[in-house]
Amino acid sequence: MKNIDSRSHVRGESIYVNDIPVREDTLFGVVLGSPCAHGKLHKIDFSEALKMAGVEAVISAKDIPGENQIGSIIQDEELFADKEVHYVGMPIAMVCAKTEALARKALAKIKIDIEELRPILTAREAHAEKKFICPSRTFRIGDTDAMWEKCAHIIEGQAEMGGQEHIYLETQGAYAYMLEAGAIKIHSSTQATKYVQKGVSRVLGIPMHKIEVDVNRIGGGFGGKEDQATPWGAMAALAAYTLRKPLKLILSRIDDFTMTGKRHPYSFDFKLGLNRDLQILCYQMEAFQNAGAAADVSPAVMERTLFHGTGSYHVPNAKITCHSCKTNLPPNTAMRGFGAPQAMFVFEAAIMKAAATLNVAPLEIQRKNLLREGDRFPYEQIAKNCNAGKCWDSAYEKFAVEKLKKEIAAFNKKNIHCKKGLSLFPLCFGISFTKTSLNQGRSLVHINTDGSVSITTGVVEMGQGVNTKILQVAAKTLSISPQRFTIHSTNTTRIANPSPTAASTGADLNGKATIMACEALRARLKGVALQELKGRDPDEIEIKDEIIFHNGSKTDLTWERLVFLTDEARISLSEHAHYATPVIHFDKASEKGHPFAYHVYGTAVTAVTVDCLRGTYEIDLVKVVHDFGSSINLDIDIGQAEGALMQGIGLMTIEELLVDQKGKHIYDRLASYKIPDIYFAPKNVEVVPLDSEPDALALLGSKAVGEPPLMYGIGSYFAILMAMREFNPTLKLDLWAPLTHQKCLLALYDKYGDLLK
Amino acid sequence: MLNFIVNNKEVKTDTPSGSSLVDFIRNELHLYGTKIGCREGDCGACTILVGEIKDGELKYQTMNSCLMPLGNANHKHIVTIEGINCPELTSVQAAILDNNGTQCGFCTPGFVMSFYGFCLNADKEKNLENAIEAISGNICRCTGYKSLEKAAAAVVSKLQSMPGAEAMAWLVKNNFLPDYFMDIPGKLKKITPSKPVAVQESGYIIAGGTDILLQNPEGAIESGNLNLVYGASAYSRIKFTDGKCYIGSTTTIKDLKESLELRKYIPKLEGYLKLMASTPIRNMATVGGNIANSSPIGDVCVILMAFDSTLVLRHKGETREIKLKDFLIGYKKVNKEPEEFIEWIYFDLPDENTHFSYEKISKRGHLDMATANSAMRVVLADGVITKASFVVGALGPTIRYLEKTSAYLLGKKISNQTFQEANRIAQGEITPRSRAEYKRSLVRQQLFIHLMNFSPGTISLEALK
Repeated sequence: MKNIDSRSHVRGESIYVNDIPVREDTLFGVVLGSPCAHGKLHKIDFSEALKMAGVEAVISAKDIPGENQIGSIIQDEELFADKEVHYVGMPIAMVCAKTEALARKALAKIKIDIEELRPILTAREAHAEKKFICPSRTFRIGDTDAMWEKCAHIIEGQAEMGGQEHIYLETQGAYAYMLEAGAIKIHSSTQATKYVQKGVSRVLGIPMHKIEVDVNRIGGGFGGKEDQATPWGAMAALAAYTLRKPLKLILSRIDDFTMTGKRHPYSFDFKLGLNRDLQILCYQMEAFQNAGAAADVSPAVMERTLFHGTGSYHVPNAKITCHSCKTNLPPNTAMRGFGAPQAMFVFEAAIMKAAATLNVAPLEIQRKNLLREGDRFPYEQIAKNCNAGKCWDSAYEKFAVEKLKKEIAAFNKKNIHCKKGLSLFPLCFGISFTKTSLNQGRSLVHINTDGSVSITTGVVEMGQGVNTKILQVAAKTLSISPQRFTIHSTNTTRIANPSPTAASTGADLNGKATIMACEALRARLKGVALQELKGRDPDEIEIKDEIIFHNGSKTDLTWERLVFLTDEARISLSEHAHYATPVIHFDKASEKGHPFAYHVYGTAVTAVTVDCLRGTYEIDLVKVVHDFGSSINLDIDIGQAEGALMQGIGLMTIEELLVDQKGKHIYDRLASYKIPDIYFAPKNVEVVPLDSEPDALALLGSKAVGEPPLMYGIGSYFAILMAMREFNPTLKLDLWAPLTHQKCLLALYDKYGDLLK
Repeated sequence: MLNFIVNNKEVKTDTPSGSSLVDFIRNELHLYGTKIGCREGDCGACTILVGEIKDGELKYQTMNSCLMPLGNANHKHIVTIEGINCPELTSVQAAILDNNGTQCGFCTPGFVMSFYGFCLNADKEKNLENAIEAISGNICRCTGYKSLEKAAAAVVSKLQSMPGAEAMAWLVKNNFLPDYFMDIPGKLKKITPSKPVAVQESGYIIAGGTDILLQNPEGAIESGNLNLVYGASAYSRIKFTDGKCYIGSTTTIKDLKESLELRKYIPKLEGYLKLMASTPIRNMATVGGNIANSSPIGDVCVILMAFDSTLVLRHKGETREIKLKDFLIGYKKVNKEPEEFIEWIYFDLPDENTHFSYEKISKRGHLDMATANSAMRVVLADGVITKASFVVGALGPTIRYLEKTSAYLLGKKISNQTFQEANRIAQGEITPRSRAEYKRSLVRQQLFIHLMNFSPGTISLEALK
């Protein structure tokens, strides 16, 4: 089945926050962000802005009736800066005016007096000054200290990985207005209706039941609207609440870029020990996470870095430490992969360095150490249905890697200005929120008396096709036509307390809840049918393709008639179901448990060409064997894999975030922060599903797919590095992602620096 | 009063000419299918079609409505996604759906419109390469583009039986366009004045608007007296006389890129200009605009300066000439009165001994600003350089003609030694302020590539070692 939203998408009829009908007296908000990264806020003077006709108000911390607090995991984040500013772009106030243009004009007239303080910009700097978001954590397995002396080779080094801006095409935004009796409604572009609801509740000082948050869909999220949709929802609500007029706040791209957090930059120290046969005996890694100025979800991101510290490999002795370091950058936040890409990158970097030092191909070390069935992760869980080796071998054979290697060697021999490189990347990604309590899904299914079905779940549709999957499993469970369904907006009045749509779990959690609701309804309907058909045992009844069967024979009873009879019998045609992932648990004190429902595996083969005269590169091919389980929708799942892959390639190559000495982003808009365009896409992408056992905790055996394929992009980094080494065999291995064109050229000609003088 | 057609309705408005078209479409016409993703022409979510009668024929091309001044819509047919919709999905829409080319959907209307730019462009062969070029100004963060490439192939295949003549009727009949399109030529002719767009003697000059609406949108709205020159018929052409090429200042980058005549003299021009901006921006942006902006990275300026081009300017009836390299005097500063109008840019046509090379490196290959761009023109006689000009961009407040390096090359044969000495001189002539080491490396590499392009047999990689 195609994504059910496709039709309205291609017709431009899909409704996002900025397309919702607005009341005539709606005001428009523009947010004033701090111009400096760290400072004391002495005075704000709005008077000139307020003199402008059409400017209704400027709201700031002093207008907050409740608490000036929006932190979710840790309460350390103000909605509006009150006495201090902690990053460039930190909201200080919002101008509310009759048009957005007017608000922006007024904004320029606000005078602020800030005493600048020294900003901390890197994680290492913060670590040195002991500025942490939360206590550091360490995962251990075996005994690293005892094992180092048994290693034949010990490789040590440092690696760096930059952040990444989400670039959801739809920027952050919200539209809020008062309902009656002090209630308020907020249309928000959020992945987490509950977070907005809770944030507004705290800021306004009113209970959650007074707050309705509604999301029809969002124009991309990628994690960026998990925690960070809340401030804009809260600001719009605050204005609507205090001014008693609707307010729309849609961030401009530059404001969005400046004011919101990104994927966390990381810095690493690593130490890898191997025996003579290139088996990994020991691995030690210390990660310095640049969390930005407030906690946001950084502690959880840090946790996933720890969980994926050993990547897709069997490491008998490991010690993985992570520090969440507080800096003066916008609070970094969730982004597809959530701390795992960083952990996997540094492990691959360590292997690359080992391979270069020992003069072997990285893939020799990689294959030899892949996870096997029954291996233990540092967090105690045992690898079950472990497909790491299966994916690798299948990719190796299917994509004729031996032949590819020969072709590349022949090309490199023949060409002096262009060189090709190859890499393989094995993936192992754990599915479940690492915070066990978030692993719950909800679904509300109404059968209308005409036989049509309305479903609301806790999940937010952001392009990942989750609503299509929900519809599919519902139609399958009830065995009626998909045409009978509508999946409604995600709304706190219909589904309370939903977990955020994140951690790739949306379909598993809410799809399973939907199946439960549909099964309950099916049982009820079967009971009515049993009575109508005068049977004895409910098992005699079956509903198949909208027709009711009795003891295997077709009857005259149709779906519509059965629904009618059920209502006539005063039996409920509605069901709310709640699903909590079984089995999983985790004990933070011992850092041991069984945190994941299952793991997703895969292997990517990447080949690239580097233009060694220009220091540019092209991705020739990425071919992947991916463990989808038994996909219920390959159209959607392959789309997720291809999209995530591209985002991962961007992360490792051209997407570069830099801040200047004052903590201001140098690349802060689409003109200067470049994400992949169609010409940058690999020329050849092939995603082949692995023939694997369906996992019982995946939705109908269809494994979660949102995040894992992003990490295939890591392969592009190492393929480029391999090609560069063909041109410059003494290439210095600066393991520093992203590998931009700049870094590529400078490394290629590293030893020719004197030419520049 | 502006008068134009949006989809199937005629529109008359007093909204300021300098406002952005996308705001008019969304806020005044309440057509919400056109999306805003960046307001700087870098995402393509706001792409629309602009149709106008040219040489008696209705022609359509795509533009970014965020950067398009409303005044440039005057007398034209503006088509938004709503103007494409038929009761059933059109062939283009179905191609995207069938190939899973949409996920979150926010970029999708822009892609649809760009595909229509391809379908409706009679000058372009209906092949995959051209289809991809048509959508290359559209950014999608969800799909990774492979499904959109498949959609492009499907569109191409559906268009294979489209005839050269009566294409519109074919598109209407074959489920590409709603049938009201057949009435548009007649309706447009009614509102198109007999007099074409002319250049005024005074006013705030706006051509394509792609830089002004980015840098100073309020200025464009608030200036009461606009001199909208986009499409001014007198200067929207390229002419060849007396061994010279004259490019009218309102010639678009697209027209420059696709000029078959100019390609005879600069064979790789199309490839060079494909690296500049995107399809919809090239449809809007003009050569004169690129020069008047005096951006230190202006791609067209770098190329034209290497040809030692001269500008013809007019102010209050008086005309004067000035060399392009003397015209650009600083960051966004030019030797020009605000109301002075660039009429022409001209240069000597290269003969068979003249060789030209252009290089551009950016963070991303396409739709990106240059990190470094440079052009070199040499005249070679028996392997000896008799004329040379080396121009570099992105290395300071303005584009630079490297005089010493150019002078050094005179009388030299191209060799490793020539390169090394030229590089030494060039490195002394430039003063990059940011990313200095990288920019210096790029100048070295580009200089090497230019010389290698001219004489691949006499220069080798050894020169760089």
